[in-house]
Formats: sequence, structure tokens, C-alpha cells
Amino acid sequence: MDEVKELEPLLKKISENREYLEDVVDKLVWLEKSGNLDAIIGFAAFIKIIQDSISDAVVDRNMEMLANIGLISTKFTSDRTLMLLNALGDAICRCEKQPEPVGLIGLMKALREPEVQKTLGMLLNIARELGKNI
Amino acid sequence: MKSIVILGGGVAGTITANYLAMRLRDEIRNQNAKITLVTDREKQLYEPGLLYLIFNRLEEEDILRDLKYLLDPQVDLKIARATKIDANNSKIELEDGNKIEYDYLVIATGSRIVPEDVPGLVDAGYWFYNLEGAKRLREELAKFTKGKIVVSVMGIPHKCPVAPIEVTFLLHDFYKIHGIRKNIEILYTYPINKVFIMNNVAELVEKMFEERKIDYKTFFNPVEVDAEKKVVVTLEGEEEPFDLLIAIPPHKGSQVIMDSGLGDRDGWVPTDRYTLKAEGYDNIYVVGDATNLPVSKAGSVAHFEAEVVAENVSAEIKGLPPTARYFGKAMCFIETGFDQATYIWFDYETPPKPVKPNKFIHWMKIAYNRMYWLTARGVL
Repeated sequence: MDEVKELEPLLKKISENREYLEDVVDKLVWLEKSGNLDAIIGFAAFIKIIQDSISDAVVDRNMEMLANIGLISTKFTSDRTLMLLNALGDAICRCEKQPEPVGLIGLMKALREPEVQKTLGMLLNIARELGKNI
Repeated sequence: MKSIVILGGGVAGTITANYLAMRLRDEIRNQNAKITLVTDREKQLYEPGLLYLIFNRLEEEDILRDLKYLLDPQVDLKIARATKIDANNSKIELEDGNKIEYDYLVIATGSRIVPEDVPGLVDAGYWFYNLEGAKRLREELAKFTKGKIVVSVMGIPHKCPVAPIEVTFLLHDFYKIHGIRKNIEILYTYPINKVFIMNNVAELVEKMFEERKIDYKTFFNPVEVDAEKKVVVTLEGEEEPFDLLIAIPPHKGSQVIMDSGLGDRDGWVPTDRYTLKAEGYDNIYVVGDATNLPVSKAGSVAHFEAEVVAENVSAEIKGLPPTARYFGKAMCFIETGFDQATYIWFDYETPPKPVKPNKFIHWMKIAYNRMYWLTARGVL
């Protein structure tokens, strides 16, 4: 008699949530019939291992690293960088003929071209930024 | 050339600027559009990190980043304090005497705490809603070993609506870890008839407070803090004693909004809830905490609003119909301790349904604390 009484709260809960429980049972049966339940149990164990072995510090450190890499990567995908990479690709792929060897005089002459001067300015910028961090 | 000015360098301003720069890449390159972000701070503070800073889980350097590294290089950053928005003439006046003209203005001036509005609070209270306050509270929490802590929400709306609940849960865990929880009484107070403005969340939190023996009082509206007697005096006539008072001070809109006559009594800008345009102005949009909308003053709201504003401003500049609409979407993590959390999302029509607190959501939050900078940069 006592055992039946002990079951009362459980039966009350089942009765209150009958509609949802019917749905749950349907889903469980579907999972068992399709053979997915065993896979889910295995996956649950995998999740449990992660839960039991990972710490806040692991999440924190790895995400900090990923965020830093992400922020740096935005610099290499900015409009200006893409234009520069595009120009580099054009210089390599779209040259109508093989570049001619250039001597000192040819180099001095080229230094008067505005495009070359702009490129030198950019190279100096790169050197300065690198210098700040070496 | 069309000039877009974004006023404010917090979450809302930064994300809007970066989204706009992505959408208007060609227009900026061809000098048909220009984006300028005006702010008086060189660094951005990740404000949700303050909750962790007070428990020494994050440090100052983790939650501050130079704005110039968070902005798309196509955005001009101007460090200056705006003193007035002349909305009728589409100009912003700066403290240094200069003026900036705009074709489109995005107001992202945020909110600020005004502890001085509650007499006695500055002398007797602590808070974590700005960096200085959080650092001060960090010292106090580490020293506190015995007595009564009152966590009191002293006005609605305030930034990050769930933060007072989170800090209460974390206080419980913090002192439990230190083995002194039994010496400490924790009381949470809220101004309305439940512990949180949304029913589903209030029900969950009340249950969890009871399980943790955290006391709570509702209809609790502080009007004064008696620093000598160490009591909080309420509108309802109560006098609540404390040993440590952690206040969520009243909030107001930015001073420049008030000085420009663009806000309501508390400085919130009347804003169309769908288009996010400032009421009465066709070329002014409002994002983030600065609006008067009935949505959370939270980073996620600023993020979702920024998507809409960037889409509409760029559409207008390109001569396309600005059809994006904001639907009140918000998403908030809720830390329910140092090892578990839940989250809610909701919009104008969908109420929040918190999931059962668990460790994975806590880790998502820990992860997001680091990944936030990618959101600011417009990547995540």
C-alpha cells in the first residue's frame, strides 16, 4: 500500500504532462526503431567526456587565440589589402611579356615613375611597421 | 559625396560602422561615400566583462581594445567629444569648436549610470556598471567575509537587464567556493512585482534563488541610501540594512542627446521600433542603448539593430529602397553560477523561453567573452 502511495506524485506528474510525454514516447520509439538511439547514447557519452574534461581556462585560452587570429585575418581581407593582393596578382599574371633585366640606370629611371614611387612608399611603411615590432 | 556620421564608439556604433564599410566598399573607393565615427574614447570597453572582472575572472586588459583596431580601415575615426547635434541643419558641434556636417547620422551614444540621482548612493554604494566602479567592487568583494549583501536594482531601464541576476548567482558561488557562504546573507531587490520583467525568466530565477537560499524582495524602489546608518530607504517606506550594497544605479541617455533636445525626459531618443529612424527626422537613425524602445539595453540588441540600420543607410545611398526592419530581436546569456548558464532570445512577439542551465552554455559565454571583438569588427 505504501509503495502505491509513494508512486502518487509520479503518477500526478505523468497525468499533468500526458500530452508532452506521449510525444516523447513517440520520438523515443522512432529513434529506437531507426537504430539512432544507440548512436545518440554514444554521442551523449562523448559530450559527457568533453563536459568532464574541459575547464573554463581551456575554453578561455583557445577562444582568445581564435579571436586574435580572427582580428588579424580581417586585416588581410580588408578592401585595401585585397586591392594590393589583386595588384600583385595582376603584376605576376597579366604582364604582357617577360620582365626585362634592369640595371642601375634603368632602376634610377624607374624611380621617377609615380607608380614606382608609391610602391616604394608602401614598402617603407611595411619596413617601419615591422621595425616597430622587431 | 554622401557623408555618414556615426556618433558613439560602443558596440552599436562600431558594428554599424563596420557593416556600412562592407556594404559601401565600392562607393567609398570611388569617393561617393564617406563614413566617420566620432567618439570621445580611444578604447572600447567590453562592458559584459565587468561582471567577470569583479570576481577577478577577467582583467582590465582583456576587456579593453583600441578602437582603431576594431574598425574597418575605410572608416575614419575621429576622437572628439560631441557637444550638440543640430538636427535641423544636419551638423554636429564638437567640444574643440569644429563642426561636422552629415547626410546621414547614426546616433549610437549609449547610456550612462547616474548614481548621484539616488542621494547617499555615491557615498555608500558599489556598482559594476563602469570600469572604475567594478575595480572598486572587486577589492571589496575580496575583503568581504561576513554580513549582508544587498543587490538592488534602482531603476528601469538599465543596461544588460539580466546582469543583476547573474551577479547575485555568482556572489552565491563565489562565497561558496571560499567556504564562507554560511556567514553571508544575500538579498536581491527589484522595483516591480517580480524578480525580472519577463515572466518565464522570473519564474526560473525565483526557484533558483530559493534553492540557493538567496532572499529577494519585489516592489522595492530605493529613493535614498543612508550612508551612516547603512540602510536603503524605499518609496514603499522600507528601511533595508546592508553591510555591502551592490547597486544597479539609475540610467540615463547621453548628455549630448539631452543638450540637443533630441531625447525624452531621461535622454532616450524617440525611435521608430521597426525602421529605427529618430522620430521626426528622415536622415537620423538610432541604435543601441540610445533608443527609447521597449527592448533590452544589451549588446545583442545593438548588434541586431546595427544590421538593419547598415542595410537601410547603404540602400538609401545606392538609391535602393530601404526595406530592412528591426523586429525586437535580443539574445542574452544568463550565468547562473561559475559552472552553468542559460540563455534567452526574444523579439517583439516571441517571449523568452530559458533552457535548463548547463555547462555548455556557460562555456559559450566564456568563449564569447573572448570572441566579442570579432562581433565588433563585423565578422561574427
